[in-house]
Amino acid sequence: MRDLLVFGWGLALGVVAFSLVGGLTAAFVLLERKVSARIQLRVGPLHTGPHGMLQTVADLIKLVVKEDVRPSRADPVAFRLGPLLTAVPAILSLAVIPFGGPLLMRGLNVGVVYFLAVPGMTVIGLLLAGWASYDNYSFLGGLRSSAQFISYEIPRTLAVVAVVMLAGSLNTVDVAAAQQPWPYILLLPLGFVVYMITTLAEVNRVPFDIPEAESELVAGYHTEYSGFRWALFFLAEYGALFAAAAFATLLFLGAGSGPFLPDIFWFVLKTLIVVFLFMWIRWTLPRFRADQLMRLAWKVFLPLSLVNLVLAALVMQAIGPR
Amino acid sequence: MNEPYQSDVVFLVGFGLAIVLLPLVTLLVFRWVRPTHQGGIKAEAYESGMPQASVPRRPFHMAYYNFALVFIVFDVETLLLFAIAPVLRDLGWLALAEVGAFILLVTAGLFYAWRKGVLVWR
Repeated sequence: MRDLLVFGWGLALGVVAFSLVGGLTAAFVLLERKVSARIQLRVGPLHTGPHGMLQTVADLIKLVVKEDVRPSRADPVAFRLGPLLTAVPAILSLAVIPFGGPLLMRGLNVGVVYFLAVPGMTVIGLLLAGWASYDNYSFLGGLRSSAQFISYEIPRTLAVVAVVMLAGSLNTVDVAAAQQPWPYILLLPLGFVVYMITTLAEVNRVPFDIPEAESELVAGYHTEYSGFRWALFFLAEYGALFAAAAFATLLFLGAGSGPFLPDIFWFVLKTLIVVFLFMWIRWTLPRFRADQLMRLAWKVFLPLSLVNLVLAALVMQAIGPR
Repeated sequence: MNEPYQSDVVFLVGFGLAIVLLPLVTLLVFRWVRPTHQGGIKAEAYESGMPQASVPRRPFHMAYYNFALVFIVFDVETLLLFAIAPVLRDLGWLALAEVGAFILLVTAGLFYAWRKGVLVWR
């Protein structure tokens, strides 16, 4: 009986999470277009609704009623599975983010590992989509995405390990609570920098958007997709962006701590600031070349994350056992 | 298996089920709305307007293989670190030295791969 209740609660929160990501994607695409326009001295969408606010809503409606084109030589099963395997893990990862209040979701005992492992499955979706499309651009895009994804996963995971060492728990709620006096950005500034930059690569954003470099690969792994299946890739991208920003807030920025207002307000505010930072970077920096990208991951960020582990050990000894 | 762990799994199954089903339902529902005129030139692979230049089913670049191998080594390393990281703070210097020795060993592996030129894209 109790299990049934928990199951129903999970089902309900799953629906909430999916709708949240849908709404956030619409909001973030609009924000992205407005931010990019401001940075490049343009105006962005203006005509649909007040200040162009309904532009992405219109786009979403267009996407669901658009034809779902499938190349005749594409692998039918893998072609359908690709977008699903990309979008589902990205949204699943939201289960362990403690926003506070009713959106507490669940502080799993292995929450931190869960957050790193589940979006890690995205790479299978990207590879599958790229391979199944029977298109040279998609094939190359899928390969490059997966190579980049796994390369940056390691320094990113090591940056998270340093936080876990200090927090003394893998439970996301405990990690948030452990930052009560000082958020970890003050104790582990290097770890924060490594986490932020490698996260940019994990969510395929400029300067690490090689997988979909328009000028060489058209659209990378999602070249052949259209309609709602294409929208799923978009949901995955912005869902992952939001989740990664929320995770940065959780690990380094003191989660929901802040004066006067409730936790959920501070958590969402900090997350949105991180999201804005990612957009700012996207529209300011040029793109890396594929080989530079791999070199950066293995020869700069991996050693840096190891140095960060040593620093974390020193900090840990300085503040002593719990 | 203790109680909280079990309910965590039950929660995640519900959560995951909702997230898998929702896109599928959306796809199914809008099937009656969206047009379907498959086939013809539209069903060809898009390669910037040219006929497809080559068959995309071919072996991939050797460098991917190298990076995948190094990745597996370090992925296992990080996974092992997660096992000890939460309790490291309470264990004192000896445990820290042991973990340090482990990390040093794997780092030596990294520099070996570096010297061998595995980390260069060729």
